[in-house]
Amino acid sequence: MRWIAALLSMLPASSSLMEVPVVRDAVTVPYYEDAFVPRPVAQIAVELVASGEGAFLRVVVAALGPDVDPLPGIAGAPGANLRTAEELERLLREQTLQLVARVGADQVPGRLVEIEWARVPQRRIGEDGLVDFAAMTESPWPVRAVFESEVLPAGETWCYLQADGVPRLAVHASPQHILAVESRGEREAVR
Amino acid sequence: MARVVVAAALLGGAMAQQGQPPPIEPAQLPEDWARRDLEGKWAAFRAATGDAKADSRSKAAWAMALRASGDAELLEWIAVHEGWRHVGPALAQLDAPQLMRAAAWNLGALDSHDKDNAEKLMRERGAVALGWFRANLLAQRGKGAAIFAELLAAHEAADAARYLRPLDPMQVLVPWLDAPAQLVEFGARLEAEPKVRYVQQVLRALDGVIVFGDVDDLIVQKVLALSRHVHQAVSSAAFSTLSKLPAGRVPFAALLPMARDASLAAAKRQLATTTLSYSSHPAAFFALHEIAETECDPGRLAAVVRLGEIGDDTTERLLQRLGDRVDEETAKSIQAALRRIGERKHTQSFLQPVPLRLLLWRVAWLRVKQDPRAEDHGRAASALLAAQNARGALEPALEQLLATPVRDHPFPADEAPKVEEQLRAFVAELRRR
Repeated sequence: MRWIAALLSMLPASSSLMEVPVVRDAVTVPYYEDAFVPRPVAQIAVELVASGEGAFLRVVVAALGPDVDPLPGIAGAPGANLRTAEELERLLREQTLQLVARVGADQVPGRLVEIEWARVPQRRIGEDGLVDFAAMTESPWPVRAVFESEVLPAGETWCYLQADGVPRLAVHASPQHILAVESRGEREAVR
Repeated sequence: MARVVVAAALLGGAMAQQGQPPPIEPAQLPEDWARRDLEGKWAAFRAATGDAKADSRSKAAWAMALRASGDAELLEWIAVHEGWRHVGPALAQLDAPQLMRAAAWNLGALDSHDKDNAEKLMRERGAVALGWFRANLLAQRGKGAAIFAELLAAHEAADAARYLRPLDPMQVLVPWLDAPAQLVEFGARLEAEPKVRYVQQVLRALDGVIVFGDVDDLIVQKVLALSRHVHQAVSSAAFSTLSKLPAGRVPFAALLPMARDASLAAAKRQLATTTLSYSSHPAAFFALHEIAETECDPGRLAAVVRLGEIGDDTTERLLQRLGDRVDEETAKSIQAALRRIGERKHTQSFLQPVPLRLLLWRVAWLRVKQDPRAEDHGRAASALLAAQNARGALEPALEQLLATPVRDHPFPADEAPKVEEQLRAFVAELRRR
């Protein structure tokens, strides 16, 4: 019980913590690779969440999703991209995947709040020469990472999911709406 | 209750940190490492890490160990046969003489992570990369042309004498793809014996085909020949390699007779069926339908699975028609395939660039051939795309398709222009509706 008391003592006194967050707007889009004919290699879900303090963005990057294109060839199972999961693993291990909001001249970092691990569908040809369409990777991979921004200021804000310091996804939002979501390799913003 | 909610919120951040991937530690090289030749080291590497599709974290651990031991030759073999992404940074940290040619080899890699990161290395070392291209004229063409032009515009060439000349696929891949029927397992050896051909050499070359990327008909034919090899692992690896080729290069015309060859083992026929399903040629699509309809065809279940992933409304009709006239296992696969087609329609995946082009090519090709199915497929495609046209999404998809030149045509040179003409005519019809 002492540790709970210690945690509570660090909290600001606010009744807003008792409010249940409400999703005010949501967009789910495919994330396209940067290629001559871009394929959707990940799924991005963006939510605008209203809480007592204001509204913040929740950005979920997933290597699994109904529109996610797999690795080429027999090994690839539609709806999952192992290369995306591998890349997520590297970026999270090296702590170079970040959600950053541009507020005026400042860059305000967000938080990584959740990582989901799971085995990824990876078809394989067995020793008998038959394709096992239901095979999975032996080890789990990070298949989903959830980031949250700080509370958005009034007016319009651009938030970026940066990988290795390079913006890979841009979210244009106000505290009322998600205005656009753009991924690298996509020709037009989605909205 | 409020205390639990608050504690959970605070712990959420900490739990995310607990889910953080752990750091990768360098692998432990075997004690007999110094006594192994390059084939012996390759054998140990693959025994420890698995094939090219295996866990990339174990590959990364070995890359760290090989960088520390200075094993540049083995690092190059891994870059050339399994891809830059595993070992490129280690080669760069060593500034190995093999660095530039390994990066150049990966410029055509079919895995974009390999290609993009090899390009990135060349940009980061622009001056010496340009110097290397200047010293090796052949590398300036083909898959190296774009990066060479970029470097030329941005850098002054620096001395690149320390870097080795480009690799030649005729020497790196072709000798091992010409595999005899008798192959030996490397086993616990530490060194290769002269004039002995090993299974691992052939498997390595098959992986290297995909990393090299810029394959010509000669190499495709050699891989196709290996799909009939008596050694199961070699045959399976050859089918796997064929399935990863650009869709227009998958040799469906040679795979289809294999899928139908009653003298071939059932597993090979199933693999041939699965592999031809990755071809973008409409004939492969229609062949899959025939196989799905054929009772007792060893490729039937594979055809049904793949049709769930690439099929359209005409596929739905066929699968529904098969209905109850099949065994329980096939019935389950058919239901799963129908669900998958339904999901793809729900998410508008038919408007994605690749599925849209394949759908339109089918109609166009049938019209070029004056095939009696042309009218039915045209009607079905038109209805499908109309149903996908929520919020006017079809027009931008068609515009993007017409604006994107085709790099990977499955049609012969004399047929391709006619198919494109029919495709554009069909698009015009869709726009008028």
